[in-house]
Parts: sequence; structure tokens; C-alpha cells
Amino acid sequence: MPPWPPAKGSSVPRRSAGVAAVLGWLVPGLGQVYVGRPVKGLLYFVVLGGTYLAGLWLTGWTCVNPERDPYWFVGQALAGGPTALTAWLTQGLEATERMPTYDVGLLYVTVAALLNAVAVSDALGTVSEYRAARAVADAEERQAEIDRMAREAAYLPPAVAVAGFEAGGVVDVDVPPPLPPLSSFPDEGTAPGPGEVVP
Amino acid sequence: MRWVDLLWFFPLAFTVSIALGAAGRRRPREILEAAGQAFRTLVVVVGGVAVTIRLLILFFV
Repeated sequence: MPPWPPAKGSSVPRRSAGVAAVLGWLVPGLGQVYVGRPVKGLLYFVVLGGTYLAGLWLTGWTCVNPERDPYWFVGQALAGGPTALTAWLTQGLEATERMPTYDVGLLYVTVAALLNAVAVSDALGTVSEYRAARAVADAEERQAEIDRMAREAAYLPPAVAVAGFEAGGVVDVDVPPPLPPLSSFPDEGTAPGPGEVVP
Repeated sequence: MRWVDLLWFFPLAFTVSIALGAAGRRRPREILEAAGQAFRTLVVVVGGVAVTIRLLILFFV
């Protein structure tokens, strides 16, 4: 059931957590760009992408190989786009001799891919912040609307007030005159009994 | 592994520090401070462990 009265919307952006996760998994930093943090996304792209490329260079572009290094490949898969692209571009490529920097390069690539999980988590955190801020803003809007309607209804007879709430606004009616003061009523001792008629 | 090979891990520590420092923070100053603190922690912990192991090998092996 939607909240009542409906919120009139707020300026907090709406972003999908799933889309942010997929974009961040495909390209490091793209999740941040999607959620509205382009500078941070660029930072992640440069730092993680640079480390990933440096690792590839140190291994002679041969370290992304699910058959030779299956366990390392699991970690590398956390950066889905770069790893898929590298695996496709370097398939069948084998080093003629083991490079002395191979282990370091393999570590660079895998750690960069693992850190991409941190970047994706950061983008999801931003989506959660937006969601929480939107919930607070909507609640404040609804409360303000309820307060406004309650203030307007306080000056109307109950039936008219209910009609005003149901109509979603103020009903233009003739307000009855105020009751006479209490002193104009007869005392209890002189009050007419049942069946008596006051002249 | 030689001592000089430890230098390979400084860029990696830099990357880890930046990535962890930027996570969950918005202002550049906060990110830089957190990254610097993470970098110092990494260097001290990893370097300390490396030096300790190296000294143990030198003295007892």
C-alpha cells in the first residue's frame, strides 16, 4: 500500500543498485559515475586500471589464463570487463620463458581485480545513502502535508473536516456562528425538568 | 627474494591505500587522509613482518 498522503517527490536521485554493481563490475569506476560520483569513478578507473595494466605488462600479458592459474583467475574475475577482454585478447599467448616479474605482475592484476569489489561496494553504499535520504525527505514531506491538513481541519466542524480530508484539501463552507457563552444558560436548579416547557 | 624486490610492493600498497581510503568517503581531504593512514599501516605491518622474518632467517637458519 503506498504511503498516504503521497509524497510529492524529492531532489534525491534514484539509482538502481543492480545497475551500479554490473557497471562497476564491467569497468572499474563506472558504478561511481552512474551513481553521480564521476571524480571518484575516475580515481578508481585510473588507480585500478593502471595497476591492472602494470601487472599485465610485468607478466608479458600472459597472467590471465583460467587453465594455467585457475585460482588466481577467480580473483581476477571480480573485474569482469578487463579480465574478459584480456582473456579474449591474449588467448593462446604463452610466454617463451618465465619472467622474473611474473609473480609480482600476477599479484598486481589479482589485487587490482579484488579491489574492484571494494569500488563496487562503495557505489552500492552511495545507492543506500540515496535511498535513506529519500526516505527521510519523503517522510518529512508527508508529515508537513499532514500537519497542514490538520491545521485546516481544526477550524471546521468534524463532518466538514472529514469531507475536506477526503477531498484532499479545504472545503469552502459557511462556518456556523460560535456558541453563546456559558453564562447565558440557566442554572442547574432552575433548569426545566423532563416534560416541562420553559416560557 | 632480495631486499630490493620489496620495492615492487610499494606501488601495490599505494593502490590498496587509495582504493580503501576512497571507499565510503566523499571529500578529497578525507580520502587523502584515510589513504595516507592506510599506506602507513600497510608499510609498517608488511615491512615489519618482512624484516622480522628476514632477521629470524639471518640469525637462526
